Amino acid sequence: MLLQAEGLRVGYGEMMALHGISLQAGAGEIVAVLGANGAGKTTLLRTLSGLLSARAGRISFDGHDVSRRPAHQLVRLGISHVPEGRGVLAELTVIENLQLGAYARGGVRKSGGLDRVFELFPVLAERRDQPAGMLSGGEQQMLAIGRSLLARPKLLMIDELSLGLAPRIVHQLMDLMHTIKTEGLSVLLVEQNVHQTLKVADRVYLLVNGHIAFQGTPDALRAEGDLMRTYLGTD
Amino acid sequence: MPGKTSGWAFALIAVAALAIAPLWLGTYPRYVISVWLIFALSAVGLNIPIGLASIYSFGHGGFMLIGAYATGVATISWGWPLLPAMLLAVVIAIAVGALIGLPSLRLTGFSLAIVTFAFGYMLFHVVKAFDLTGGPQGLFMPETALARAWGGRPLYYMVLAIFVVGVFWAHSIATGKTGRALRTLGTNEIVAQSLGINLLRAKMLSFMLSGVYGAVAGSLLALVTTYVAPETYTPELSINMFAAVMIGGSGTLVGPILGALFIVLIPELTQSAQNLSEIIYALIFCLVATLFPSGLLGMAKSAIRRLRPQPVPAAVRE
Repeated sequence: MLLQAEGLRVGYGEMMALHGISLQAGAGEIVAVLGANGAGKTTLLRTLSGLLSARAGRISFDGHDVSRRPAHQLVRLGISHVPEGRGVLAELTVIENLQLGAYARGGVRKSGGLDRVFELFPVLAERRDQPAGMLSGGEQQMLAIGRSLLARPKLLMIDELSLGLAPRIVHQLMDLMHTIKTEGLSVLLVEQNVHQTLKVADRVYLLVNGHIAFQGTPDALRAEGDLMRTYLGTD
Repeated sequence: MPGKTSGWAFALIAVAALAIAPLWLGTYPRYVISVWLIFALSAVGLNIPIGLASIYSFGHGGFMLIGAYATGVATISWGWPLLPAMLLAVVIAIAVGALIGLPSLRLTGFSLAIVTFAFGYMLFHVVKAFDLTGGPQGLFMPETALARAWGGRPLYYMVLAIFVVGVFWAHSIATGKTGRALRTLGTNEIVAQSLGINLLRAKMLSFMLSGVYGAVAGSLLALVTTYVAPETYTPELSINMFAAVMIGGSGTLVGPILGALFIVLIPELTQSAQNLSEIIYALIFCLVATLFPSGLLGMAKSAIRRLRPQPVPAAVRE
């Protein structure tokens, strides 16, 4: 397993947000974490990427114990995290944002990969010298993903890929996840958009109030009518 | 916004003007320009934590104090030549900058601002308390050959040269990898970390870099004013330096230079008003800060924009 988390307990002050979460992601696999607002999805991602530290449990990545490693070191090991809200720097240009992505790899020239990002997202090449704040929501998400890819990750984690985007764009980005996966990258998606996510994911976790209520294939989750209705609001 | 070429042309003309001017100018205007350039150098350095990383430092005067006193003590008491003395000042400032940067990971905003302020305040009282630093009287700098020859013009040119190098360096920092990293953490620390930026190291670096600028500026100020007095390096100096960056326009290259002109020139111009001088300065200060919240540079830019007919943006998108 590329990523293996066991018994993660994470809290803010008195309040516990995650009560013993175990999760795995293999190489070349798309894993999705679904759940309602406040279920602990973002907390989980932040813990896995080293931004938060767990009170109990352990995380191993690519053969290293990374339970106590800070985020900036995990980037060098190959975990890249697209934070909630994309985190594109509005005042910097598109190319400057991309250069930031390669920060941990000693710059875009050393990282290579820039041509590949422009190939995946031609619109970024067209707008390379525009401030990122001028991009549409979908283009900003593409920029955020492209920026993360320049860190040459083995595991790409995306917090709310579909948030605030038109269905057509979401569809396009989900297709892209599939493309990335076929190139051997692992993807961990944290999502509220159930239908689109279930189409691309290999395995799904359902997070409810800091517990894992379900894990398995998308088909198996679809068969759990009660879970789908109660926690994901779908029929 | 002016293009890159016009920016460089403007810089070239400005430097040429500053290089030619002292050939005709008398001692006093040259002195004022030197002091301006020194404060501008200091402000350009302070812009690194403030303008790039959004870390508010109210202790920058402390670095200038380190520069002035290290140069003074090393040349007067220990008989060091000027250059090693300035180097010593820079080394001390880097070490102290790293030390101040340490709490920046846990403290943010106001709490960190208070720490930086207390640091400047403490240094002011330290130099007053010890004989080595001349106590309350301070130190009289011996007149250097730079200030004696050719009516003191060599010293002026040294200040100008260091200023130009400092501004170029700041420009390359701001537009390079370090600048991008600092701007990122200044905007969003979560994003910065998830891009692999070591927050503690970057924040410490911003203090160390600003310390280098402050120390060199303080060192030059000691040479130009020939006197290192504790009263020059009160906490008020730190506040004035902060004001120079904010009034000029933080995050820009020219802003802090303009802001330094403001804090140097206004007190000089209002000197004839004697007792009222400080009050007038403070009033103008309030006015500028209120009327032009984006700084003098921002004001100049929007004035130019208003005068020039603007082409409609090629693509106004969603």
